[in-house]
Amino acid sequence: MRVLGSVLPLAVVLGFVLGSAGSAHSQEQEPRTARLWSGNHALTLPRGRLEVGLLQSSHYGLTDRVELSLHPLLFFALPHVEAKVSYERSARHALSMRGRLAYPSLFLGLVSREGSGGLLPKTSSPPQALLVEGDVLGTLFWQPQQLVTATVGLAVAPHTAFTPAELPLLDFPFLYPRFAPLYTVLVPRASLGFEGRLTSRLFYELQLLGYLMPALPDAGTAYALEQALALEYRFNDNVAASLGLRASEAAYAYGSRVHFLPYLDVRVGF
Amino acid sequence: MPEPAPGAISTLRVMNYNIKFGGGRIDFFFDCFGERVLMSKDEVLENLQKVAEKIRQYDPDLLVVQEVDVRSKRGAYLDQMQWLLDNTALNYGVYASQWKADFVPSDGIGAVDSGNGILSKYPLSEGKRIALALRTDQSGIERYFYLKRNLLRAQLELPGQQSIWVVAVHAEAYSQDGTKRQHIDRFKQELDQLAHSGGIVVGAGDLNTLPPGTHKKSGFPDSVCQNEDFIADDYRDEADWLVPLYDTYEAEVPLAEYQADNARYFSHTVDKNGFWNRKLDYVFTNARVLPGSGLVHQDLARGGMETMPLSDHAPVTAELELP
Repeated sequence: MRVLGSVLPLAVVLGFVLGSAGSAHSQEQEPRTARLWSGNHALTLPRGRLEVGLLQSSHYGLTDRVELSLHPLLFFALPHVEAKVSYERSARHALSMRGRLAYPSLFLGLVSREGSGGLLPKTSSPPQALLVEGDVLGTLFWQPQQLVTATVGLAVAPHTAFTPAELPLLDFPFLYPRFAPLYTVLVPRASLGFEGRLTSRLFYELQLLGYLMPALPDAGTAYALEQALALEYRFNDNVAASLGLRASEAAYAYGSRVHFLPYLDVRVGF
Repeated sequence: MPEPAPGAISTLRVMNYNIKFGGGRIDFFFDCFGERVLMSKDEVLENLQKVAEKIRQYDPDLLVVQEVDVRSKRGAYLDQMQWLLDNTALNYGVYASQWKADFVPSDGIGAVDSGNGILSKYPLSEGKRIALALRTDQSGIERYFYLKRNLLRAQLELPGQQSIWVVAVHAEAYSQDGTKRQHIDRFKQELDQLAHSGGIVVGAGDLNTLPPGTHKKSGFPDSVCQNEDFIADDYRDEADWLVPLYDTYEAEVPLAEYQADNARYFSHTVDKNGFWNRKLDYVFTNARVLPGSGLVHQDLARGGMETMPLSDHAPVTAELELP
């Protein structure tokens, strides 16, 4: 466990996130429409609400202040669970913490293969590892049904020892910063997001996300900047469809590159 | 600091070398001799040091290279064009990618940028990448990530002398649809067009086919691939594909000499434990090749240095007489 020491701060954060569920302060009522759907903001789903997405994770409001997330299909390739805990909430702002625990070794083994889908050589031998992530989220309701959210967080990945031949750098666009903690001590990250209503049923989301990846093999200290822009049409409180574009600019070992990922998604909530 | 360009010369020393992206004799998965996909930086540098030693030993004025990588993952992200310029007496270079993708999601290849290069002691100008036909026997997605073969053309500017057109080529190896033939014909067409303008042309590269009059055209002992995507060892239908080139231009080795003794001019084998067993690498020109100057650097006896450990191709050289 090479980075056991560096896990401790995050473990504390994560413990605080999970442990703070019962101590969250009850404040004034926030706009219901903003809170109803899950998102990259500090609000949690109402208790008992379940959202299932095609591409994005599914979310469940365990209590009014605790939201659990996982992707039901990805889970079998990349076991993971995520919890967001609301710490403070008022009519003007909200504060929460989010923790995520994943076991990436299975996924890395699946993509170490010959032929198509081989993101890593089949001779790779991924280590046993955990991916531990934590974020603090602060949301401001700057206008009615208009949210701005800032997050700061970090990710670490305690793992058994491995050589560069056993686990070459996974520098596939978009996966690159998310698996970078395996190759370095920790990966801090921060984001700024805007979301809100455009028309009665049309909503937007714009998110800017930055990662700092210190001392990666071959690439050295690198960064990744991601931008997501999405429009979502909410047919009612239960069905929504979105169209989005993700862009990533990152410093790779072979230079800085920009990549785009358009997507179409549907989610239903109960 | 670059080496100062020499003064006027009467002969031009030309070398063609497929350097296998600094892979030396590591057994890569596509050779079907091993499973390797990626190299460490130490491995790449060790292999390139030997390649550079061979280049320095011959000391060409003009070097045409195939399979030179520029910051590919398999080559530990090293810029091999720049490295060769830094570690030989060659001062100028032009490069054209034939396989470039930020991420090849297959076999763990990842980022790749590999192609043809022209390096010279003298200034190069008018560099141009000329796209060659794409294979038609692949699916659209395969073709998207597959090699985009090309001709790399540049003008070599000799001090106080007529400039020389140089054309580099690496023809298709694995196609079953006639794409290789198209590449060879397009190579000759480019040489013809430049020659008709009245200047000296030098075309060099790995044509992935055999000269006319080759005795053994199939059943090579180093062909162990079962995967048909990587089978490239049956040349029986290609016996006359290079006839137009030999009819029009001088080769580094006259065809009659080759036909009299094939083995002496073999330049390729996949098997590191074997020996060169076919000729795939060429230099063609409309200038006069100095008699006896053409050589396939096969080993210590023929070239002054063992080349089998350096790449799966041997360098071929010739001295051209300049007017």
